[in-house]
Amino acid sequence: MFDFVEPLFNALPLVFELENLIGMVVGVTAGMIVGSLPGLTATLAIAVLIPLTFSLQPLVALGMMAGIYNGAMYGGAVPAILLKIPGTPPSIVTTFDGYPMGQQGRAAYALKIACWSSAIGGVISAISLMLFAPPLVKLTLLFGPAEYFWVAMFGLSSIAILLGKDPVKGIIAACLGLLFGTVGSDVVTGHQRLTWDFKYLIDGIDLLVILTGLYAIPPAIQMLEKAVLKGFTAASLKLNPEDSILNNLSSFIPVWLRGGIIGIIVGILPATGGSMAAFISYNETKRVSKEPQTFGEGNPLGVAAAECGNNADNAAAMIPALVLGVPGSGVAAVILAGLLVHGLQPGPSLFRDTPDIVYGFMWQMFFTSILLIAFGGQIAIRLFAQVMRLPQTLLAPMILCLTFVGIYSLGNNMFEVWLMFGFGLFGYVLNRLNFPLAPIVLGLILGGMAEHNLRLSLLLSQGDWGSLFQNRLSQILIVLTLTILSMPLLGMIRRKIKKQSTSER
Amino acid sequence: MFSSYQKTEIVVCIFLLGCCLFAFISIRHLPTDAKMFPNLILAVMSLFVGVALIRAVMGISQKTQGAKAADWHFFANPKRFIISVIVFSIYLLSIESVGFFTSSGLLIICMATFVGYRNYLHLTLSLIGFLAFVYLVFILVFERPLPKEFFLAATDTCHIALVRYHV
Repeated sequence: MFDFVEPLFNALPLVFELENLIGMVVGVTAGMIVGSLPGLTATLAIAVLIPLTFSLQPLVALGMMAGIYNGAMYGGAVPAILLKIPGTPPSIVTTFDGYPMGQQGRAAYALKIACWSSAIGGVISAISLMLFAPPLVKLTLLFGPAEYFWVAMFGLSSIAILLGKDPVKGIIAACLGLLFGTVGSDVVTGHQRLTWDFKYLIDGIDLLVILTGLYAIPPAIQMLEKAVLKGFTAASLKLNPEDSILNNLSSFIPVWLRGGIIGIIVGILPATGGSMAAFISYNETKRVSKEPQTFGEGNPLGVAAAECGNNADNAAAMIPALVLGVPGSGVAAVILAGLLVHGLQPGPSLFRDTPDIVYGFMWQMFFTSILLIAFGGQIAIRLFAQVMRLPQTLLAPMILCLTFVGIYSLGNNMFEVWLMFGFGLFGYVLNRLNFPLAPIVLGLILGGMAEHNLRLSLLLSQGDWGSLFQNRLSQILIVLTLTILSMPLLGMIRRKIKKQSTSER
Repeated sequence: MFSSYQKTEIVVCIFLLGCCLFAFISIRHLPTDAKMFPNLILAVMSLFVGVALIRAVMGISQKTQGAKAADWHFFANPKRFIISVIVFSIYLLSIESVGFFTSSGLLIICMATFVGYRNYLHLTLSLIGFLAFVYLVFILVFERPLPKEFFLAATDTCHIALVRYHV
């Protein structure tokens, strides 16, 4: 039961090696800067960073990614509190009470609460990752090819259905990802599929080409279109240090515990993400409060609930990602891509063959959360607030240059750079029409696993398609997949019944 | 009368259906085993693109987007979009012959100027800071090979020619 404790603590000294520490510090700092810039997300930062970490040790690269993840999720609170502009989507909830606090001259206190709450949420989440992922991975040893195929289908359908507003578009996006994954030589027969005699496509489309194209190019173009010529003025970012968290600790602790538990549960569920965790945590805190009317007027507990719930989702979203290869959020999907780029395949083999890396990553999620307190304090907040003075018209071309560096350095060929640009324009169109982009990335990641296991299962059963449905575990996964797929339909029926009942009244 | 959002959706759905058909044709010569999975994906994708097309024509998907779709335009600013795409394309076309730092410097200056940025002191300082950051991190620390600057390449060519001449 607790045999994971030894490898977990064996990995601890590795995390304290100098280059790993530097990786984490750089990651947290970069993440906070990126998160504090409206329009730039953790996903974008990680997508731009991954190609550049090839020459690094996997643990150093993962440390940077963990730092960016935790840092960006907190960094989003800075513009949310100072300017009522959420730096990242989940920090919308932080604006509810954070901005009114800023208006009352308590911005520094609100930022301090956000910093501490993010760190505590992150720590609780990292502990859940350490406790739950190793035992859960043992369950996956019961999985055969058919079960793995259905796991891939379940992961894909949940991300496709639950992530965007339109489930049909989500499924199309997932299919696009699966299709891009089939480009290249077929691993069994060696035949070339969808390569159209381009030699650079024989090995398939590099995951990073699609990732960078979809996540970095569209926001950069949109920034140029909007052409915001001025950054924020120094006057709008003025802080007045005051108040103390320690004096009010007794009121914060229950909020942090509640937010932490909510964040973990939401994080483990596929395709939910930090926004939902922050919303539920905020609502629950408001619901149990003796003064619910003060929420939205600048209640410090509102900021604490939102930020703690948001960051408690981070490491928890990596539990299904590391165990099954099915990420709990869009950012977790991109980190999963980072693992694959460094040759690390999620599942039992990851825990068995590379325990130092997987447990080291868990520690990195833990320590980067603590680093938030050290680096997210007063001085850093002032610094990041100054970064926000940089106008988007200057940021956008810089992002475009960085996408070139990342993709060109993959194989020193311009074909991949042009392909990345093509995917960027395609991503721009999909983005404008509200197609969710995460299912494309997940389709690309899970496509290979789904096809391999489908063919293996058919091979073992001599072409009998019924073998996919025979096993009890497969049947459970099929029911779960069908439940997810039927959710939009059930929602539609429920809405119609509700509408009918209100019109009858 | 279709709204701008509906029209764009219809065009994209037809384009995706065309892509599915093209992919179907491209893999039809493959052995059954190799084309089974792509065919499965293409079948599901065609089905859902068809559904999306019907929803777009009937305006259902527009409704799910709420009020946003009513005053929706594909481009926030078509002129700036086209300029950005053209300038970035020229950047990619010239980067191997001009060099990374020179063309990146020109890209940042051109794009910022084209979209109306006029604070040249801030622009120059930001540019120097960015290029120094890229040099420090990607060349010195990560040792990433980037396209060589044209003036350095010319110096190298002269040096090689001189060495050959002396030999």
